[in-house]
Amino acid sequence: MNMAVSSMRPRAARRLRWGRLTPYWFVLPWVVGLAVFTLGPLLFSLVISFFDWPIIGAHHFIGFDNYSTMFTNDPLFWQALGVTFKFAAIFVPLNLVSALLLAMLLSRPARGLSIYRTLFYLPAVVSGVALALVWGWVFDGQYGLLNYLLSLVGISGPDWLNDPHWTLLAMVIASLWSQGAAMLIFLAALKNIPVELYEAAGIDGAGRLMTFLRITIPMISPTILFNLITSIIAAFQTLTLALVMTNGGPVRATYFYALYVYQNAFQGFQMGYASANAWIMFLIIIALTLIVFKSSPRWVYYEGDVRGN
Amino acid sequence: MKVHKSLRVSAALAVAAAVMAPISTAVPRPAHAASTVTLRFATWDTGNLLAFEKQLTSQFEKANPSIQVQVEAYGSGFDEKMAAAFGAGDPPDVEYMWNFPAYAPGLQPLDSLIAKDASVRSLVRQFYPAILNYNRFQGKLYALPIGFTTQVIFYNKTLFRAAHLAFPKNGWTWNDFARDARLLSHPGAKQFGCALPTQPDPYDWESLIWSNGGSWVSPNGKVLKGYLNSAQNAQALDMMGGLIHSKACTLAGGNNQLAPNDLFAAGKVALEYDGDWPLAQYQAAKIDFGVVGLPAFPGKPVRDVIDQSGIAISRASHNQAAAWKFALFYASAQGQAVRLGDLPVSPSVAVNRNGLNLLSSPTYKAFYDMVPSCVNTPASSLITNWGKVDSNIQNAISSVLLGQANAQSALNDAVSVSQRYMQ
Repeated sequence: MNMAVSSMRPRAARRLRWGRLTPYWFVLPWVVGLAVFTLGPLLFSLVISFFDWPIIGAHHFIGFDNYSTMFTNDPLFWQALGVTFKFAAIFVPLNLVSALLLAMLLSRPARGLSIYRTLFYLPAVVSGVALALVWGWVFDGQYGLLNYLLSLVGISGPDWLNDPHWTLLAMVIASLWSQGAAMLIFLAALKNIPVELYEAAGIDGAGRLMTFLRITIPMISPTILFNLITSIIAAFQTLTLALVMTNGGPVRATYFYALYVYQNAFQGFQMGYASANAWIMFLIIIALTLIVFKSSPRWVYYEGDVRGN
Repeated sequence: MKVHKSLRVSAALAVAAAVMAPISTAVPRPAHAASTVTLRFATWDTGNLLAFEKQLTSQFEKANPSIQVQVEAYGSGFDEKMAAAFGAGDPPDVEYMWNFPAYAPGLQPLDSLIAKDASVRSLVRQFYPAILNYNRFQGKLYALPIGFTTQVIFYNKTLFRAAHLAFPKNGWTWNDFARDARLLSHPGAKQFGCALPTQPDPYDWESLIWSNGGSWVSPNGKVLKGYLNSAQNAQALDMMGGLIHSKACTLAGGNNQLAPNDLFAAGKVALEYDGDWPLAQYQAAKIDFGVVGLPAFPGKPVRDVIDQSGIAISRASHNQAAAWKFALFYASAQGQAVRLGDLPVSPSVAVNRNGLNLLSSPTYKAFYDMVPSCVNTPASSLITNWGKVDSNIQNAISSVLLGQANAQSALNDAVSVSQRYMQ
């Protein structure tokens, strides 16, 4: 019921004004937390990216010098970007494919599905450091579990974490192990595909592959879009595995961009430069996300979409 | 809309809780009398070593009832936590310290404090001068030494006896080392002459470089070209790379992996280039080992580097007097006697630590024998941005050991990448 406040009695008017403010009071703690712990540091990092900001000592405004140094006078910037792009190019497609395959396996009727679902999801909730330590032992060149298993079938495994040709692949394998979240999201999407579509396709004589390509993929394409974007973001923000397992080595074969930023901040003590690095990473991720979004009308189908053949 | 009073009260409580939460979760301080001072003391030690330090702080507190010491054990995250603490303007009062070029502006110089007190001057004179000097930066003393090690070679006596080889002795050369490593290496049986880390610490390997007449940087700490990529440095690194490629030595380690000391403790490696850190591990593993000083390059004097810890006071500390009192106690002979995980930095303590003369003990003698050869100033004390230069040098050494590059080109690359960090 709409009431003109001016026509109310004062006490009622006060109650109405207070009532309108109540939702804001309830969200205020979250907003304060966001402002203090997220937005505040974000804006602070943007500001100090224009400064020479050592850990200890005086700070000097230097304009865009940090950004220009990055692009013109720091070979490690390009090396870190190259490693990260290479990792993302391998990890993202493999992550999507393996998560989808596992989800498809779990969507079939079978006994003990809930146990399998739990087992496949468990790695996603294990601490990244603990995972990295375990994988470090698995990949050990002399006494690691993986090389032992390979030796049982006559294969002499490489020194995974000390051979620059294999270390990035080792990182990909260790990262893929934690794709439980993507798998669950795919599983939910698969469960939401109307069964009638498959029945109709069956009646029309469509085979398994055609059904998969023409029904399953289009129907879960919004989920693919979501997982694609989150995988890209995760790939570019990979830090824990590199920090714990290899420290960027050997010979910077796993020198991820996030590690480059971390070392500039906490080993080089250059907070301003590290902030500039972080903002460039943000812009790169935004750009890639926008490219994916821009391409999405061609391959993502939403409910109610009508497309011509 | 009618808003109930209970809803208004609930909203007010929610806001109050959100505001009070940060205050209530602040680091609690024990309730003391008004005159008690609480000192924050940061250390990187954990486990047994931390236990010794807590024992020492308890002794200090008993002797100084008005001072409480809050031990903050930062463990392996020490460097990051210290950087964050100093960057936030909230460092501990007293801390372990090694990176003087980076932290000097935030540390209290100690020279004037020492000069004021004759008993303190007497204490400081008891330290090995070479070890004390590692706590200086640009002529100022920023910490008191509390523990050290030099680089030595551990050798597995059982493997040497089995191969009928004489034990290494002081005065030996890198040619002797390479010969012994080749003779003791049986890769098929997973036994190796030596194990080298995949990512060696350039600070420790500076001893190798100095012994060959080279250095990482010019004496004034300003120039890399011609020093970092000198022919002597390349020769020394190529020698180490050659040990790996000839399979006299194996590569081990990398972050959180089986390190060379783990392989030595397992009896798989005959020679190991290290400081005193794995001593307790080798004793626990009951390896029959010996310790000998570093080999020399033929015709050149052997040089070694000191890894040492100092105890420093933050300039921002509001309890300077109490912090200085604690630092003196910690570095005193009593402190050195209690901290069994550290080698004593005073000869007077080393000759009699709990009845053991470390200067003549077969296990500890070699560490002290190397102290007189520690006459050079490490690059980390000369280069302000050592953190970045160090990682580039480490990358160069790794690429040589992994056979990715020869030493000269790897060092040339390190010079070009590091140049922008030189001020």
